[in-house]
Amino acid sequence: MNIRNLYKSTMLAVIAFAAVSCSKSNDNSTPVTGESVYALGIGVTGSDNVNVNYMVAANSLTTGTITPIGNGLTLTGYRDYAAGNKSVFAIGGLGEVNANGIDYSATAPSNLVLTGSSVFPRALNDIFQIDDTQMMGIEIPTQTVGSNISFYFVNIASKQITKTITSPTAPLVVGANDPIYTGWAINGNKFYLSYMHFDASYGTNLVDRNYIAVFSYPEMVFQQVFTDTRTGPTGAWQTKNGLFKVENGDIYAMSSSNISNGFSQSLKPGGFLRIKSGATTFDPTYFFNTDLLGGKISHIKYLGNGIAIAAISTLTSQTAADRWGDKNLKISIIDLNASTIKDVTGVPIHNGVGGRSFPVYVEGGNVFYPVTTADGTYIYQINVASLTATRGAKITGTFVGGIFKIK
Amino acid sequence: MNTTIPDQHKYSNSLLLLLAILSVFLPPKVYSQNKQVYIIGKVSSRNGDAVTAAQITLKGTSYRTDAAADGTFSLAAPAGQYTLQISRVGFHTYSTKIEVSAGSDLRLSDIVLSQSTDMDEVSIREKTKTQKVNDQGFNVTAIDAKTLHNQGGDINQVLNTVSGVRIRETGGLGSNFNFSLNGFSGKQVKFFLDGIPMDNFGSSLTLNNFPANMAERIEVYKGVLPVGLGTDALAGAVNIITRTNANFLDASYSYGSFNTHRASLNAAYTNAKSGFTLRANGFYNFSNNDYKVNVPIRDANGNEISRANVKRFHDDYESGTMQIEAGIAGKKYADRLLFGLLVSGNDKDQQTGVSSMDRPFGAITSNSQSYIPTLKYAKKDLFLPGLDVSLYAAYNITSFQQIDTASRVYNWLGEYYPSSIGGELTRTRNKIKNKELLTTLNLNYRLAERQVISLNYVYTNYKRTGFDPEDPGKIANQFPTNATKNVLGASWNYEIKNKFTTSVFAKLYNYDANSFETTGTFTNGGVVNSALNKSATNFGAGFASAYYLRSDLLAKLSFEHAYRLPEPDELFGDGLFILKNPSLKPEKSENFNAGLRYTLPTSKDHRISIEPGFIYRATSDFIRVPASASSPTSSFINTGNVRTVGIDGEVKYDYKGLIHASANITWQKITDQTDSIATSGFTGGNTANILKGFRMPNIPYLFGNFNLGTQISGIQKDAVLSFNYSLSYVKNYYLSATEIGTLAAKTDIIPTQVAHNIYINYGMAKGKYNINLECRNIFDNELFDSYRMQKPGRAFYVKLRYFISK
Repeated sequence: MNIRNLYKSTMLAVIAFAAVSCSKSNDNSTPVTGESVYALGIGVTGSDNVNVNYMVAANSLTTGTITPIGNGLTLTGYRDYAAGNKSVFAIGGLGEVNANGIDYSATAPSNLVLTGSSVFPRALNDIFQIDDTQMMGIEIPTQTVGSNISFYFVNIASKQITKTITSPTAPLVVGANDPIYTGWAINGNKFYLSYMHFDASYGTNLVDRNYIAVFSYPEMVFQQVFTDTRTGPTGAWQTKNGLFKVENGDIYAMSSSNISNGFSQSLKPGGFLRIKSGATTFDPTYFFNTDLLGGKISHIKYLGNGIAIAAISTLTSQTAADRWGDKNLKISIIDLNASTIKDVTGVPIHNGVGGRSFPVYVEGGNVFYPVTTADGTYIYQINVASLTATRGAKITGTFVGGIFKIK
Repeated sequence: MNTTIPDQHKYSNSLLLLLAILSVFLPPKVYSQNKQVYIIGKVSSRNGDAVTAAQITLKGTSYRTDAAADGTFSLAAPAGQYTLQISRVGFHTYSTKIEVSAGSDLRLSDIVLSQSTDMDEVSIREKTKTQKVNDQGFNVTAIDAKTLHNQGGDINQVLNTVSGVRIRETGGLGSNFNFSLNGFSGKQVKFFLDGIPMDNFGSSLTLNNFPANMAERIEVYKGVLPVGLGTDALAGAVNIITRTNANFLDASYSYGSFNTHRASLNAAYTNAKSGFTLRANGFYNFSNNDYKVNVPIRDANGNEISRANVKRFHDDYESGTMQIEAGIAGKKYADRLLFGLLVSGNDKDQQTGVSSMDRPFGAITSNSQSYIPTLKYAKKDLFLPGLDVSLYAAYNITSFQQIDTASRVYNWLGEYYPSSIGGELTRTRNKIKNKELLTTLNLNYRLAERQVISLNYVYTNYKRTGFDPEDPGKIANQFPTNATKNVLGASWNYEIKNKFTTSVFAKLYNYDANSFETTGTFTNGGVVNSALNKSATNFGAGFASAYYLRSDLLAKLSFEHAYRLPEPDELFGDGLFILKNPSLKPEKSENFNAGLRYTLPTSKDHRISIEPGFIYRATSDFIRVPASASSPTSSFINTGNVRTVGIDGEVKYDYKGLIHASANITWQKITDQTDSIATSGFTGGNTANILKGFRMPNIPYLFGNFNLGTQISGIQKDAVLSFNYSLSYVKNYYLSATEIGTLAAKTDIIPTQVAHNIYINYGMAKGKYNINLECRNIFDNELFDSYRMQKPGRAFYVKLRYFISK
């Protein structure tokens, strides 16, 4: 081989190298226009077991395929979602905890644009809309981490934190048992906080009663704790939806002490208790025992007129092996006034998205709910009145963390 | 059957066992060699220095050996008349006629080699140790560290120029780094110091602390490991060989940007008569690491009020290490017997988390201490001619403490606001203690002229305990773990000098791990702690061959079925949050390498070598925690199939030893081949992997280095001025799969990095005094290689070095 041959072969190698190195463009994003635009938080788990979350815009939840392949906004780290007016707040991140505000954009490549973000010192337990202009973020630290609850007020338009109020955790602490956030409701000048307890090894020792803390609103000054022994604690770890307010100002508390949502023991029946509007005790006249009618409720969303949709465990007796499982769920419609539970047909028995949220979107008389089974992930359109469901759009992804309407 | 083991020697049972195993392999031919006697001598240069690694041959025969570090050699041969030839790069070949008579060893008077004035001629014909390593069938890059002793950097910076290697740092001196070899990292790549596994040596004994001055040579094995490095490395290993000069002193001090000080002292003394040897390696590093970074400035509420270039304010790093070894060399019973103590420690301020600079810390610190007594023993021709034994033992006691006790929230201006919680992250003063016993035994036996069999046995016993005064009940500290690992390797090596070499090997991996678990917390039975045990054995095998297709064209082929054993933490978890999984299997990988090396002696003045390589890895059963958001508890599982295809190439050019240039480039396609993903919680089972066929994210896939240097002599007597320019390039890549999400809107990019560095060195009095000026990142480019963690900008360093060798 002489120099010339060497030169030739080297150049050939360089060209071959360049050819294989150029990765092909994979842009799938087609403009999403029209009257209604939805945004879906799609989680993709790789074989490296890293979850990456993508926010993808779509026109329809009922047909076609919604895919993050070459499409959508990439959000670093694990994300929980909350709606604030037409914005979506994606909470989470990588190495930091931020709330990224995401809005519709007619011009952005994925029709979604990051419109601001705020950074929190530690992970939030929840973030939710409290009035027309504000979100509230809440963090209840364990005793080894800190001794104050933090309430963060976030402006929806600017996505900035406008105020941070702290209040001691002490009134909520019982010995070595740390208070764990399970839900919230605001009525007038009162902020109701439902919670359960974990000990240092995630054991639930205090399941013989239901705990509610009351704070003044919007000053967030602790006022009192009240309990009731008809049920165990409201809600469950990470499900965030234990309390909800209905039209007349009454607040309902859902309790299930569900092992597959993280309880280590269960002593009381599951069901609903009621706090009459403005009251600081449970209404002794109302108890809707749901164990007898349908099973342990895992997730719930209030729809209006006394009607709620729930994901209910079909496991008749839960054991330690089912703990944290969030599994074998069916979809049912609950009437709080008539005390009935009716199952929806057409949704396969499925597992939840890890108990973190109940990613439903309500429009008209329909609830849109993503379900992942061995066939893949699909959005089911559940008609509340007829108790039937039809399979809609297919989702390319491992799970759906939230569905929102952004236009 | 073998009667050559003297009874008076006390050896451990394992040694006896190994010798017994070894004796099975001995063919009858060995016994005729017992008639051999020894030719014993010592080689030195005219000024009295021992000449290391000189090749001693009996001309016209296959009897040969290399001189030891102190210049001594012993060569076994049958009686007869020979021409003894001694050759070494840089010296004239020496030859003399000798007569060996049966029954008595021949002791030669000391042989003095005269220095060659025409280096060129010799260096073409003879190979240095570094070149010899590179000539093996393994996919190995051996770096001759001697050429780097005048530069200011650490071993990481040297390794970062090797094809296939990317070191991704999160900051300046002492920062966390991720060593990636062909895309593998973490526990999949193992590190050795003189063949001793240094997995648990502590955070002050990592490659970013070691100065290049400490090393004689650095070897990077990719995918396939010789049995001599006995460990469960899935993807390869790095072996640092410390300097072996018998008598030398190398002291250096460097100062530079960000108030960075690095001092190092390496010295050895060997008494030629008594054989007493004293060796010392010491180094000290300090830096404020106060380089400027582009970061958001936040108010008391955590809102971004502006973006600015500010100096890092809480990133001091200090580390120091002292290693003393004393013993004897060149004795009949030991070529080397050294007892040593390695003491090391560091103090580190933590400015940021590991993946984001959004929020600074202002008071979190960590520190570590290591105490490592060592024993090194080596003897050639122990008991029988051709049987070489080396034994290394170390007991390392290391501790690591993280301190976070400030109730503050800092911003990048160094201002802080009171915080409602006890620490900046989580209040802690957790201290973890590790104790580990390491023993490595290597036996090499020359079966015949061309055949060597080797046995390697590595025993490690590891214990971990922890205590946090801020959280005495900390779950992770309640379950101390210990594990014993045995790795036994055997290889058969065959070599036809300058034609063919092959090594066929088998490895046996065994581990035994112990811990505790808590049961009963999930039900009403109360807490019960019960002991856990798991042991398992696996077999691996492979080969490495090199063949000279022509005298200027070397072909290499190697393969290994490699394992990485599960660690106790992975098997048993931490007692609560990470649950046990006793059915956990080792990670495994089929590693294949092919390579060519073409050397082109176009003329005496120009020399070119070209080295293209190809790698293939099929890796499965990665040990990982499944993604979960629903539960605070999970367990490690075996998951994931990954295929790695890579090509790399290196071209080197040298003109009369005055100008030299080299370039390398690495391209790798590491793709996810997993069909389904096991997720706990999200969907509670297996879901189709939509990333199948896509590149694994967050791994650099195209990178390269270029180096150009020249030397000017004659300015002053015995002085050399040299210039060096180096460039490193990494193509951009993403933290998440490139294919997912609109590419134009993806913000999780690690941008393309180009760094230019310049070194100017002036060496006087034949390299006795050296001054080195260095400018790194000349154009002050913003460099990132660990997502958003900005690395230092332009930096200047000056290094003074004094080196004498006797």
